[in-house]
Amino acid sequence: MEIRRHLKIYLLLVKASWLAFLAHRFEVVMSSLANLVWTTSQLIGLSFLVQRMPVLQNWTKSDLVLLLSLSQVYFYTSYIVYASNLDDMGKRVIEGTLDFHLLKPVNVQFLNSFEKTQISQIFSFTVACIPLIVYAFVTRTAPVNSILVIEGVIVLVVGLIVLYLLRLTMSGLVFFFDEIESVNQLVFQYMNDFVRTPLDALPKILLYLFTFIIPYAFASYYPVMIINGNVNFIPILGIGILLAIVLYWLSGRVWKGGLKRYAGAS
Amino acid sequence: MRKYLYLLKTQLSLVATYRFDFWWRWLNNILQFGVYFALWSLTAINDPVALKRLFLYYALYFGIVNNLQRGQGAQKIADAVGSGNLNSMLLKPVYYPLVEIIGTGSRLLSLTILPVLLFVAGIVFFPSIFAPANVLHFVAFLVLAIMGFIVWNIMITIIGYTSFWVIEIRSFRVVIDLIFEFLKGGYVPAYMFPIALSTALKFTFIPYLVSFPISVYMGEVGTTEIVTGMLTITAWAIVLLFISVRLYRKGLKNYEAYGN
Repeated sequence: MEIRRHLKIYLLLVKASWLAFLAHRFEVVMSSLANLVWTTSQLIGLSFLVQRMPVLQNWTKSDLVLLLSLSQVYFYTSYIVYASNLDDMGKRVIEGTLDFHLLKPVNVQFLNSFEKTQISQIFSFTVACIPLIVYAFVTRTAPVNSILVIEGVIVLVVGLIVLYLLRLTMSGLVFFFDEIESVNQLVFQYMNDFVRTPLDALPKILLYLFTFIIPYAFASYYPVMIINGNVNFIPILGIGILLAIVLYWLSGRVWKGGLKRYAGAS
Repeated sequence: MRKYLYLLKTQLSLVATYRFDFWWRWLNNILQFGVYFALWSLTAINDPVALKRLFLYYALYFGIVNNLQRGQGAQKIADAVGSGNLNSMLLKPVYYPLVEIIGTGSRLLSLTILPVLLFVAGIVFFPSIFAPANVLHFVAFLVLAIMGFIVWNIMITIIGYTSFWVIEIRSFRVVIDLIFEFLKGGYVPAYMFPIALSTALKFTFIPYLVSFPISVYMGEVGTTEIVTGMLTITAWAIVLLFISVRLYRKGLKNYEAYGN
């Protein structure tokens, strides 16, 4: 019942976002273009890299393109659905506008996560990600195993959920620390570059960091490794689900504790 | 002139006020350096010379030169225009664009303090890695870095002035930032660009913002080229300044604001 109610509310929020999208067309076009330029620049950079080294420590060009495309799936999905909403948490707490969310008979985490949908980025996602994924599979020299692809997609979905829960937890820390926004920027903007990096080519400590602490590896690295048959699906899925459970519990505790401390503007 | 110096002093004192913010930005610089160096170092395995070149390139890029070419100046101009707050600045006996440049520029200058100190320590203790080619190249690097800082700030005022005609420029600014970040040599080291791209960029001011000063520091260009480069960037600064001033005047004619 609660899930259906929140789903209906979510559809209403998406409708409101659609109307906002129609009202600011130039900004929308530029916003889509910005992300397309970002993806294109990463692809061009990758091309330059592959020109110098056709095989980068067992990573072929199609593997690197697949890694990039899955990282873009994470990036666009997070940006479309929740990232900009959670990034505004600090501002809402400081200005006291969180009160408006608290007064509504809706789960506050839900509302703060999904209030606005970046409709414009759906176009960028379609234009940037889908051709990249198709290109990555078409240029593969190794045969494509459907079961491994399905397993890779499952791990990707788990990764998206885990990274959402991490971001939700970190945004809840704004109730405790004013400067947490800088930390969030460090983790979700600057460290974002590691999502499209073959982690086994870097020091092992980074692989552990991006598996257990900031689980970017689940968004792209592990799905690609699973599709290539280089890692076992079950242990990775197990770790992902465990991280999701832990972060779900942690985000609940952080938000509960944070809301007790929140003074509001009224 | 005194009022601008006072403004500069006030802006620099903000470093002491927002210490955490600055420490984090320096940490972000280190992280960015780490990410791109780690990625591109894969092309220089078993080649210590190439590795050293890459290390110095990104250390200079993220540590000093690119730090001088960041900031939210364009967005601040756009916000002032869009909200009507520009009115209050127009009533004051100051030239608004210069106020914005001082505000943005002072923050950027303070961001370079720690990297410069680290570089000096690096030159003293690890000269084989950090030392410039010679004193002349080092001085030329400093001059070019400052010129790049000036050209960049003039350019962001031009971007900011588009808000006189288009209210919301946030994403437009991001597009410009991304394109420049790529062409300056942030995502891919500029010396790894294909020859066609490097040649095409020579007709713009972009190489003279970051990659040319770094090449000068490393001693990869001769004295004649350094002089030519300085003249080129000076010419670009004059052209962009002319465009900026004209655009500002045109924008003010178009500008309307209501209220107090």
